[in-house]
Amino acid sequence: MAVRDITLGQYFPGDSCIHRLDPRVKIVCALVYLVSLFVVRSFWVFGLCILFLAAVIILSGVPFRFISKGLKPVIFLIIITMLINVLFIRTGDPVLTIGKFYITNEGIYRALFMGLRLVLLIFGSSMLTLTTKPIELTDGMEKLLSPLSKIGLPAHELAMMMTIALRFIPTLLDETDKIMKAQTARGADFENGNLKEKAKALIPLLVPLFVSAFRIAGDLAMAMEARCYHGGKGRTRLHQMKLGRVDAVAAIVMVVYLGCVIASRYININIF
Amino acid sequence: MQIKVENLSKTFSPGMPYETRALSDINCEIGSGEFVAIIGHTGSGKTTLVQHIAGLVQPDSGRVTATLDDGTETVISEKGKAAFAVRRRVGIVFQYPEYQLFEETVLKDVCFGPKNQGLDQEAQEARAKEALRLVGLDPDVVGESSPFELSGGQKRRVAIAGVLAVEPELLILDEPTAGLDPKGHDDILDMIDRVKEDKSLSIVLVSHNMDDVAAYADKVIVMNAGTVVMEGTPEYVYCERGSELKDIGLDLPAGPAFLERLREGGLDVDIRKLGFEETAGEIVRALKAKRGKKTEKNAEQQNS
Repeated sequence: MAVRDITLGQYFPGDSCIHRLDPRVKIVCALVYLVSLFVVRSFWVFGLCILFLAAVIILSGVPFRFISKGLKPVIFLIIITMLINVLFIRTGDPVLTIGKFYITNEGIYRALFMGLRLVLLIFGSSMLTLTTKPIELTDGMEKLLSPLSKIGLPAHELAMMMTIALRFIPTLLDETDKIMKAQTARGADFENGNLKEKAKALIPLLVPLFVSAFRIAGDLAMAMEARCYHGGKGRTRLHQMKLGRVDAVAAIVMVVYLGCVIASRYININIF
Repeated sequence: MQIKVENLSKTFSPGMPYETRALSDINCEIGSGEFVAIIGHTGSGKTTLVQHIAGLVQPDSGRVTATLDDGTETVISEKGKAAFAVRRRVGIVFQYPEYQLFEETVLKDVCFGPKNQGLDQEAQEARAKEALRLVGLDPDVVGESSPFELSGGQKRRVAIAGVLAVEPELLILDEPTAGLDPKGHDDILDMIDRVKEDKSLSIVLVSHNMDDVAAYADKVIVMNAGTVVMEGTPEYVYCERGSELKDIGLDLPAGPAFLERLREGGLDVDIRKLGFEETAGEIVRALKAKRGKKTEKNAEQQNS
């Protein structure tokens, strides 16, 4: 059941201090962390990034096995990126020469650098989604974007759309799984054949899936209207978000971390 | 074709926080031409079990084997293998099967199975038309219409026809009457029973409706929390072990349930009766016996 094994956007239930952080703080921290990865210029600062992430992972109590599953769908992308770096960077000293073709030490260095950055990007962002309930995540986003509603950005509507989309990922995956099995039982073959045959084999899967998606969407819209949903105006919340001491600590740690990373650009410790 | 399920176990998302043990050490058999019903709560593993029998899922351990009529034995599913070849001998109709319809016309949709079996156009259509007739639809009337234009009950018939067109020897139906009105419900069950006789199929019916099970099944398999807790004739399951059935929170069919209430009310009835006729007979017998006792008592009083 391959469709069930997608971690991206999945919540790992827990009650750690990372789980309890205010979603707004968590979103900002995650963004800062992701940006910091692009500020880094040398490998030893990546050590700091890894240490920081490791500390967050340990605090959150999410098993590493679970996090690394998120890599699976993008491993191909990472390998391609690394290959392009190795093959097309022509500066630096050649370390391997086959006829006219050569690989430089700088190429290898940059490839490893990019690869590591991508892996950390994925781990960093999945730590946010693994420790935050989708509902909290979109609520936090709505709050963060709400100042922009003054200039016409529909913050509430965007957040609601995201909530609904996230909520229905598992539903649609289950539906896909069910339809796939039903068509397989009628002799459909989704695995074998060339690209054209495979694409054709998707029709018996996609048509019923679209039909169900529209049916579910219609039902949901009706259910929301039946409960008097009329957009974000004047809407109050069941769970008010409040900043606490943990959030303050997290913010301070984050600022110190970002300071260190930025400072590292100006302090030259040349190990490599 | 005979199906044998041996020591079948399956866990979903192993090692994850959502880990669920769906089946543990299941053993059961489905004989040739038998009508087997599987009952149990939502989440007791019924659907997972029938998906294994259809060869759609691989178990973690144990296996499902089929003994064909010529005596050869083939594996339908075991760890690392879910057999495609045997699948066409086992047809499965999922819950709300109308959600699998996708073609432009009803006839084309029913042809999907035979087409995948590599039959030519003519043979496909012959099979599809026969299957549509079997489920009580006229291929000349509905054949060219879009499956999405039909009513709920008709869509379900088309979906069942789509499975029958593969000409399976065993037909599995997972709650085929869910969401239908009482008339549609009875129609579908009668249709299944008729098809079973016409095509001498084996049937596996997953159901929550105890009256249907009592009326149609030759054998009942009761599942609870991923295990088989009882297996036997409807008489055995409902009458001999009715109290255990109630302990795991399942209902009795209307007959025994009614007799039980009568007994609680003080009438001396034998609750081990299943059909409506037998139930009625038992009530008459008990009432006569009661009156008999009364007249006996009156006679005694007069004598003394």
